[in-house]
Amino acid sequence: MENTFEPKIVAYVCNWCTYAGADLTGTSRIKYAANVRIVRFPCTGRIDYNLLLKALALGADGIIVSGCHPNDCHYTSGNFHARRRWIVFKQMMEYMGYDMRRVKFSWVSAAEGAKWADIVNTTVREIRELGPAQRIQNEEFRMMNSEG
Amino acid sequence: MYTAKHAMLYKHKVHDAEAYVFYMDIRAGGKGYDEFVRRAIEEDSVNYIRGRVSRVYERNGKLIVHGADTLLGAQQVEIEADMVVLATAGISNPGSEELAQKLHISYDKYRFFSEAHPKLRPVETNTGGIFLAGACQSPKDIPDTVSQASAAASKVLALFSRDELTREPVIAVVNRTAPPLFSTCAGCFMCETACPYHAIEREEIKTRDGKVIRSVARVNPGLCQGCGTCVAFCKSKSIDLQGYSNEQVYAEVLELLS
Amino acid sequence: MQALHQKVKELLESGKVQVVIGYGEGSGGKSRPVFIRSAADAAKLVWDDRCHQNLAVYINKPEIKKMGKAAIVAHPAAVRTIVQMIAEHQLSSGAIIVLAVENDTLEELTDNSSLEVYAQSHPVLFPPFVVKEIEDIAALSAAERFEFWQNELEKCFKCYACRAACPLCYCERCIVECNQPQWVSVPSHAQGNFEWHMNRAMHLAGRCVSCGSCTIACPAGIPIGLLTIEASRIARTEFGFEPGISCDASSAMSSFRNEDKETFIQ
Repeated sequence: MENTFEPKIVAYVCNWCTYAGADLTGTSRIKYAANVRIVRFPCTGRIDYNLLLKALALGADGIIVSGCHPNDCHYTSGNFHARRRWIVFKQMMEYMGYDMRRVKFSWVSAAEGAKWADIVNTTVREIRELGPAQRIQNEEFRMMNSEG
Repeated sequence: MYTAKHAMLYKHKVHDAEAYVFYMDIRAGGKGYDEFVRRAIEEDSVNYIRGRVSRVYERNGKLIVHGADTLLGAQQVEIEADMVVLATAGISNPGSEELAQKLHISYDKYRFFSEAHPKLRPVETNTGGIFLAGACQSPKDIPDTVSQASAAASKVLALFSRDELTREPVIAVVNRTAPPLFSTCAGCFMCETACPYHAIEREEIKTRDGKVIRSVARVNPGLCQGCGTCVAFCKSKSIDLQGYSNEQVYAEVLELLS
Repeated sequence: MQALHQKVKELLESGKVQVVIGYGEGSGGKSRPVFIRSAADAAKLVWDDRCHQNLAVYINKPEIKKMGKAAIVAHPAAVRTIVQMIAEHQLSSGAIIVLAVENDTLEELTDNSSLEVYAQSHPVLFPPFVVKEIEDIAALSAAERFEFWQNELEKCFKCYACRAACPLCYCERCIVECNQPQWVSVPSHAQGNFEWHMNRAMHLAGRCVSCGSCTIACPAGIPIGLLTIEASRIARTEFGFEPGISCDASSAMSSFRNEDKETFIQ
């Protein structure tokens, strides 16, 4: 049977590199999976790990976090700080038993439109194979947030 | 550059003297620079020899310089000199790294300060209010230094010509609340070390008679560039980024996934 | 213990300090924190292997500050906590006299450098059962770990005793009290509990000195200390950062190195 599961993927990207890179993907007319919903931040340094937790809780099947390559940060060091935060976050989540294959971290520069399409496509393919995300039982949580 | 000038000045002072310059490459970039070197060679008859010096030693109170003239088929050259000057490279000041770290401005691997953008912001640094001029940025001659300094000075004047400073629209703000807390900031100053712009200051909350109650963070709105790194670090969620506030991004995520 | 009583008596009699934070005889054979304010009460202090709680949590309490200058009976983990608090600007240097105790030794530490030297030479050792727990969890598969933590965290009813017991959870307003947005869901359902414990671990990464006070405080008996111990272990192995040994160290999470690992980043 064909896999018809369409994963919901949230992408947290920085304004200066990956957002511009994703824009380039569009202007270069490269096609990529439509499962991704992009949230723009000024810098990867701004991306709070709580937003990743919330996205997973609210029903995202996968997350892409992406920003400028090291040394290319518009704000000089935001991505270095972000990288350190992700190292701890990723290992902590793994320690709690969470399947971190669902969360992708990448560096995509403003010139890498093709890389962005590639990352989205691979992520969608991989998550389609993994199936819907394992949920921490959160019915009450869902009810609380459903009115919004 | 300074070698040509030294040789020229020497010839002007000591008319019957000879000056030799051993070189491999003369990087005479910029307006009138090559003409300057040509003048040293042609008008002041400084002898430029393309080749490396292999040995310098003393004989009968003179310094003997041994070298090769590669333009004349690697012919051996021996010069009896009264003085030998080693033309060393222009390097950055040993304290420049420390200064750059203190000012939170970026520097290259040779410890010269980097401009914010090589074409569009050539005299500004990444830290607001700090400008560059002269050899701190790269080795340069007097005309280049003067033009850069003029540019930097005019940037400063432009900054002062207005009564109010234009700041970034997106900046971080540390919250202020009613007494007795005054701010939910716990004063751990993690944001201070995280900020790439040195924009976080310490503000002492005082009573009316000047007694310090507590010390909390404050964002200098003129320095903050709005990257938001501090926001994600704040454990008590006391800093927020205008335009990308916690509430706004959370609402965005909520909407995207509902 | 004799030496401790003597020292405390001296400190209080000479007026060097107005209060001594220490361990006293509690109910049910346990120890409890006591606050000694007169030399005559010095004998109420105890120091034995029942004294695990990290007393540094009381240093900044307004009630204690009101009493005047304080001295504190501190085991090695508490000394590290105090060093970490100084590094995080929560305590000014020399603000407190530390009576560092371990087994039968007693040292009086007043300045930053002596605190650092003591912290560096006295590692925090886990009791054998904690070491076993750490190893047991490490041996589990990812799915089993998920199961394990789900079962453990299910017991949490968010009393925040872990937060109250931790001397490094000093924020006046905690992230859980922040409701715009509600970062940590209020009810103690699985999601909210997960969010809370994840936040606690992330906040204590590179800061937790592994004193174990949170585990002792947890009324539901969840081994929550393991989470922050793990967070600090990550900071130690990834960034070479040891908390509580330097009074002017920058924090592990707000600094970075160019060579930080990024093999997991595409």
